[in-house]
Amino acid sequence: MSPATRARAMRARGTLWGMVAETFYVFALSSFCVALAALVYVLAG
Amino acid sequence: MIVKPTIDDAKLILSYTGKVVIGVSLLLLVPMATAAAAAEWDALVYFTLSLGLSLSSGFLLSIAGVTDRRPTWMHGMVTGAFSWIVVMAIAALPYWFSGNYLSYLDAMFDIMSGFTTTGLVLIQDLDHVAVSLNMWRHLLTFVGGQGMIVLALTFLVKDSGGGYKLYVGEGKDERLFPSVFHTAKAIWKISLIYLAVGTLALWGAGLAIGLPLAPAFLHALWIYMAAWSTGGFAPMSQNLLYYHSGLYETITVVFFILGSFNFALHHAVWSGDRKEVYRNIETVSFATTMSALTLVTAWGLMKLHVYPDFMALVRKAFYQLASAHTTTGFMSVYPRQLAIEWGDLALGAMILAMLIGGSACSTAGGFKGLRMGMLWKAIVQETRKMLKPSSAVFSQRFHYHGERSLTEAQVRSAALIVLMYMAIFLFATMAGTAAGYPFLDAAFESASVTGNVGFSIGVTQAGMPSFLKVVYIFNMWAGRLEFMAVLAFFAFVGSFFRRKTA
Amino acid sequence: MKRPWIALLLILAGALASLPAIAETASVGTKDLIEKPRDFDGKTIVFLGEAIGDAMRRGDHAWVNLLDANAAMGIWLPAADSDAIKDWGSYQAKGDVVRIRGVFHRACPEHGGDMDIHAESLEIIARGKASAHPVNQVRLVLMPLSLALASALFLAWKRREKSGKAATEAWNHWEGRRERR
Repeated sequence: MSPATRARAMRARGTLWGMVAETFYVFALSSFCVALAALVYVLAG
Repeated sequence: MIVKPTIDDAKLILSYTGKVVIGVSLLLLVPMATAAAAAEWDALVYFTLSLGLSLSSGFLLSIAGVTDRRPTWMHGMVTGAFSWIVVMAIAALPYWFSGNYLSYLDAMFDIMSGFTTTGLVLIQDLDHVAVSLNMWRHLLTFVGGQGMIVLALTFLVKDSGGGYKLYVGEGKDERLFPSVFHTAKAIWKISLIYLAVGTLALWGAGLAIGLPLAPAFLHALWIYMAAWSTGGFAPMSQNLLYYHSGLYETITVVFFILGSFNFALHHAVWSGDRKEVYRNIETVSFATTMSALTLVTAWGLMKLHVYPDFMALVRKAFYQLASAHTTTGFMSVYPRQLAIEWGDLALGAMILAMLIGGSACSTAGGFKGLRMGMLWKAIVQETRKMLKPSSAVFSQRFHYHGERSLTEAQVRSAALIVLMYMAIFLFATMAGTAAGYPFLDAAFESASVTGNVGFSIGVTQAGMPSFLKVVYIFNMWAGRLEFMAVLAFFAFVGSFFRRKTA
Repeated sequence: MKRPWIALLLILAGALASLPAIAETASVGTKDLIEKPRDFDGKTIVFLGEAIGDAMRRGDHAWVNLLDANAAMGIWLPAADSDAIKDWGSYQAKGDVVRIRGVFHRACPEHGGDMDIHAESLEIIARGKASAHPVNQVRLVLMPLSLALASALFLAWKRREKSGKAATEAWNHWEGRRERR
């Protein structure tokens, strides 16, 4: 494997894991908000 | 004191504007190809005609602007504001030719709404619109999210010295790389990689919810473009309600929240700094206001018993709020339902969410999380000052790609911009009430145009007064460019008419 | 003497039979449904509109969106019924005009709070037809002309750019002289 290929592979891996991390964050935040809505639903419902 | 501009200054601005116009004109090749593929020959003719006319205007501007002057900050700012106006007028040609608009003003309104990723529409009979015209609508909103000048910088403007000044003029100021050319390229790379992922995800979801193969693909591409750019256009008049699908809505939530993140954040996370995603002042600010406003919206809706069960509450309250806070504007309710059923408390929370908006240097609008975070830190600092002995010295820190200390200049600029947002928000609210709409409706629609959101409570319709359309166009434009460029533009134009002072 | 009596009976029966029929065939528009949703919530109504987009099948049921003069409404109906609709509204065609009878939900508990109608019966009122979009002849003529103009201006721009430097210098020189005066 040439250094250039290796660098490209590393960047691709970084991109992939970056996207996973970002998506995970979005899901975590959304779940938290949904949990808050559930709290309101129980308290007010 | 502004130095009286010379003809050369104007020429330089015309020349850069010409390049932006040429860049946007070349985008017409995409709907042209779509029209050819879908056998929409009449559309192919008017798109080609539009290409000829808009390229001609771009070349004319370039001819008028031949100069060897080097750009300064002033040129960058004025070009930013001016090119958006010129492009609005020129890109409206195919809209007007399509016959789906009642006036040229309506067509320009939709262009400004698309480019600023607002998403309000005045288009008529959207459900029977040509495939190629839908492609043009969504392509515009997608490109508008990254910025037209970012587009021009990537392909047309070779001079990198002046490039950064143009880039800032469009309301973005993050340098992902030292060179603005590489920064523009990195922005496109991030958007296009997510374009591939998002379109595939929505295509799969579209097939799962029963759309045929080809429409599922087109809907996926368009909805992704509108979600990522936080634009909020949709190919059908019902917007997201057309799909009747929780799955489809969930995927759009992921992409419009991702789209509302700072490009510098994406870049940092993709380069390996994954902790930044939960430490960054902007994501922290967004998470805080989003959670708080979810509570308020849910409370407001529960109080009035608007939704019968928990699932409905989540799918309506959380979805609309997330869509408003990221300034997307996808709706899974009818506009008038907000006015009739939602009640003042929930609408108040929505207005606040729309004004706060997403992250700086993203596709989103509003005050931006960065400024909210900075102002919050400044308030905390002031409070601490009052409680501690006067001899104590504080330095307030915040996390934004590393720890930084908060400076007076940052707070001042953040406060000024928030103040200006509030000013034009109140201005358009007043214009709305002057046109005879109820105060809350006028405020809601005004927040929606000022924050480039695209939620409607039913005010934005082809029948609304023309002056209100113009006010809304102004607010979308000024809000998207974050005022500096707009102020520079007016100062520049004004100084031409001013008498020379010694 | 029997005849008028029978006639009277017939009229009475007819009136009785047609009373609910009149109430139910008067279709409700999206404008009323959206503006006064609580008036119709949970009631059986008749709705009339053009089928647009595509049917979206979900198991043994399907979603169909019907457009009236004001807005489109989502209709939930047995998948077999949706097969009766042949033409769907798009750029290429006007869709079938469909009349459905069903229960209106202001915020459907079954479908995540969507405003919808669960149809019980469906009737095709009019078949759709292809929409013609003839090419505008004036634009067809202007099209090559505009492209020719663009090419000419492009060449002019490139030539101007070459000689531009000289022109700008001359201009600056002239401006400078005027400024000094």
